Amino acid sequence: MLDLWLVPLDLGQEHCSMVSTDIFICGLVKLQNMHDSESSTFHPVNKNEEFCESLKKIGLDAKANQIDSDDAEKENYYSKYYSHTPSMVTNHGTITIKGTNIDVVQIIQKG
Amino acid sequence: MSMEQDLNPISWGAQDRYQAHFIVKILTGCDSEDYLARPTLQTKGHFATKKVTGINWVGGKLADTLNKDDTLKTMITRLPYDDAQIFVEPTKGGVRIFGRWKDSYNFTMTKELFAVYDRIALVIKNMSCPPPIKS
Repeated sequence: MLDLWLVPLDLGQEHCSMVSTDIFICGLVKLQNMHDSESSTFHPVNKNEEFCESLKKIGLDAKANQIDSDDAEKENYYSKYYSHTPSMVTNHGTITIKGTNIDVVQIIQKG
Repeated sequence: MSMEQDLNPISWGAQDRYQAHFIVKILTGCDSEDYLARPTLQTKGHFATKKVTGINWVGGKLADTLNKDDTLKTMITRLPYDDAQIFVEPTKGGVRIFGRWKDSYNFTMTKELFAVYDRIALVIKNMSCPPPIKS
């Protein structure tokens, strides 16, 4: 429901033969039943499940595993040959892919 | 007692940076230096228009093998510059192929990038277990 007020402003007729009146429109928008388009509740998704979905979107047969279920998560994640390797990382689990030369995908977060 | 605020705070804790490690499990010698490789990229342009024009792998025996693969080089030159920075590192759990750290918004996978990783993984498997020689 929109309430509108039309406020005419009289500018006088000193210089013009034509009379023009500016109208200042101001309004107050009242919307009933206003609500967000997004739901207030959400389903939290693990990072490996989220990445698994992006792998499925490109046509891969991927399955997210439970955290700490793969041997690759128990060893060092970097070879230490390069200096760019971070000192602290967080493991987010693994994803198994079938039908490719990749055996498993591990998701890691910095810090 | 005065409470002073740190004027140069360093971020700590978990950051919004993720990495996906594509692991190839081989039977023996997973952590051998032979499986070390990283590319030196020749580029053209700057900032958002930067493109990869050439690539040269540096590292162990794997790098020498990858340098002979012209199809792989062509595939990598078609990738965006950020995705073309690939690291191959041997660890005890397997040989890991990964790229740069990405924030959660850009942390996705494309078909082209996966095809590159898959081809590198094939080379690693062939190196670890060469195909039988036909008599």
